[in-house]
Amino acid sequence: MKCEDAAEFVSALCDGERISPAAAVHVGACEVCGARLKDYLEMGVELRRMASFESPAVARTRTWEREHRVAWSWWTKGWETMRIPKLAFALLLVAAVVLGSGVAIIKVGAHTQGPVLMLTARPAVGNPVRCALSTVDKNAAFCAELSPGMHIYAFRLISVDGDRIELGVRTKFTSAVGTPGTHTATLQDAYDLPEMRYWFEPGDELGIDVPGSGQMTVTGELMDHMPSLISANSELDPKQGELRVVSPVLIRDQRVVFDFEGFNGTVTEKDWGVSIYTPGEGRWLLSLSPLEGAVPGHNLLSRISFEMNGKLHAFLMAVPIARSETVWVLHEPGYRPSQESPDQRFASAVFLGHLLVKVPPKI
Amino acid sequence: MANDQDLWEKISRGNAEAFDAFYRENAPRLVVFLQHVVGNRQAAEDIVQETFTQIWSRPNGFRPERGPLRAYLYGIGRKRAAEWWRRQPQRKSEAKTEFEATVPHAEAASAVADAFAKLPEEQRILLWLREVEGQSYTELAVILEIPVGTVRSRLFAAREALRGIWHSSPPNSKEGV
Repeated sequence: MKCEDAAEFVSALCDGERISPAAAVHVGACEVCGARLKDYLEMGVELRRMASFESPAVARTRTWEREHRVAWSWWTKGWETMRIPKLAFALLLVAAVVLGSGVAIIKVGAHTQGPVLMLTARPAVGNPVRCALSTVDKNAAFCAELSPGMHIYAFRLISVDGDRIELGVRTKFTSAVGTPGTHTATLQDAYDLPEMRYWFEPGDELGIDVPGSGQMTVTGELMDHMPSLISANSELDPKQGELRVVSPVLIRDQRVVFDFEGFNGTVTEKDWGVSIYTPGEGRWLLSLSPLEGAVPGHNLLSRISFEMNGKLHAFLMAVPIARSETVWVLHEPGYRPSQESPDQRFASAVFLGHLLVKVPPKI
Repeated sequence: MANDQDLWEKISRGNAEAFDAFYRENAPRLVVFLQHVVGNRQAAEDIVQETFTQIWSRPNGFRPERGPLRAYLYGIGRKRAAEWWRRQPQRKSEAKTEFEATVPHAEAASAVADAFAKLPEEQRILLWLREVEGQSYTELAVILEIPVGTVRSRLFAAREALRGIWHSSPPNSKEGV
């Protein structure tokens, strides 16, 4: 045995480890290894001597009170089977639909105690995705962003080990350069994707390869509560041209027609709107631009008030909806989705190009 | 191990008295260790407080089968110290200088102490935990989150690095050991 091969065994000897017979023979007979052993031992002694001069710290007196965690239930009813169709045209990439994450975020609001992992995923293509995952409630530990025909990003908090968090990540990216048509996605589509597991530590950066798109960067921080995320724009004030539909409730003659608690849809792109379908009620379209057959709704803060067929209606939302004073509302009671299951309600962003009122050019 | 498990169960159930005893027993040594990581006593004390607060408020990460509670504690402390560095990158060189200037006390000054101060942080942590704290390979594996075999090779590398710096120091200071 050569000295360089035996050197690591010398170190192990200093740690009280047993070594191989061949190494033991060599170290016992070799002056070089003997000198190394002597040095290592001296260094250890010297470090302990040095530590003896450290002034002993006294633990600060503290009281230990554990914050009481509020138990709360999590709501998934309805969303598990939610259908999210969208008329997606090639190159119209920018419309943002936040569904799964909206579910996770809106429902719990300020009532939830932390800690909560606030993730920000920055895909190589498209807008950042923000996602809040509870570390204490498994029912609030999943979120997904679905952009039908374009991408699916889903995150699940699997376990916590000290500072480290085990994340399950599902991704799918589809190039939007294709044939125009109707694309659909459900949360089941996210569940069906293979899940990759990563250990992640808040403050670190996690790189995830998304086939077809490139690397997605994930960062995160721990928060003491579940934040109320509104959309990619986290400001309460809507941006110019932004239409935000969050937890919409439709009231007709003071009676609730439907309640899409947990839905979070934001449209930022011109000529796009939000579509809400419920069986028996048909489809409601909301748009910032006039639509053929639509009525103007008066938008004030988080309410759109309008009259239709002699009845007073109001859309109530969880956040301010748009800057515009008018939001156009179109009701299509005869609308039936083309999918196999018309008995499931859904909401989505939708391209409204074919419904927009053509404004003649001013002469 | 069994004692650790009992203690952990008490902590998990919110037994403040048991946790305070654990804190008083371990906090002082953890401060000294972290001072060698961050090079700043006040910061080390703050990190220790954060470390114990984290364990108390979120007692969900300790796995008795992976190693003793003390190793788990030091592992969290080490990670908290790493976060501390990340939060103040602009102060890193300043703090390093402070570390080098203040750690070897006048009485403790020696060529080995000087050489130790020049080691990379990772090797300094490893040697301190092994030689001063007496952590076993298993404990070091838990603290540093590396396989036991890697602990052995890294300890060897750290000792060789320390020895190299020590031997390259001026002869008079080397004799001062």
